[in-house]
Amino acid sequence: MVNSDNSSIIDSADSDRFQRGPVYRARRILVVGCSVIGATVAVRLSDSGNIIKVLDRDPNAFRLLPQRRIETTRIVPVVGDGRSESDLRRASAHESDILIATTDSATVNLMAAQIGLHLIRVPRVICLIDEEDVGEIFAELGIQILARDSLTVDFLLGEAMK
Amino acid sequence: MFVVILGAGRIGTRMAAWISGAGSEVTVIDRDKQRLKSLDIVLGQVGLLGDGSKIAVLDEAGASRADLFIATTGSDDVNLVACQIAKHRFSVGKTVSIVYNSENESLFNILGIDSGVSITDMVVERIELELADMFVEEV
Repeated sequence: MVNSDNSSIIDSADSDRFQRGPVYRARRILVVGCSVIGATVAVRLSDSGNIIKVLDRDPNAFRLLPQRRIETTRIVPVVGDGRSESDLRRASAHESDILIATTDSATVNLMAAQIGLHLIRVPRVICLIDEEDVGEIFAELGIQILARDSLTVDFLLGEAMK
Repeated sequence: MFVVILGAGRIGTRMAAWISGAGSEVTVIDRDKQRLKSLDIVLGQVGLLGDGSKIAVLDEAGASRADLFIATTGSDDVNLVACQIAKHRFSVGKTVSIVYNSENESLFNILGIDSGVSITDMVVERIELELADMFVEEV
């Protein structure tokens, strides 16, 4: 389990280091779902100095995260369910600037995103889903949506036009 | 009246039997072929195989002409998203859902699900009621 005392010391040191610069403020980001996409996003965002928490129901999923990042608490894994408000809060959703839902289930992502937006009031919520047409509904409800199908089509079209 | 039910488990099946017995038309969506088979034996061809959180499946179920949508799967996330799609995409007049984690009841309300029934609360309250006589204050 996460040692919260330890992580808070390093978190504050980290944020000091990054907040002083005029260029970029380190963000506190919660990634829900340690899928391949979730883990990759967590590592990339950690690369640019952000403070990352990753929530997943399955402790084995955290194997996708580099051990060194976990040891230095630049990425903090938390075991819990993204569909539970209390689990999201245990992963510091209420102190996060951004919540990104990247589990393999679109419905879990939509639920986590909406708990984050409406119950916890995370300033920015991003949600990965499968289909663009479902995305349109939830975009109108205030969720920032990324749909796998249209992302893939955009990518393929981009490649084809090269 | 036309009712679309998501989930052909015990609750969905009993709801479907009751609605159909009351003379209304009903369609039941489930991802499990076997469960739909046993439902169809009792109620005639009312089952539709598919994932009820997908627009195409709800469309095929006739959600656009449904008066009522009832979500009864064991997953709060599936029930929530299906109700939201029914409401916002297919303009179903009333959406009702089971809520397993009572912590989520307020979310269902905020998001405009007309009625979220917290199963866990209901069962716990009922059990407490049944056992009430065992816990009378001892003097």
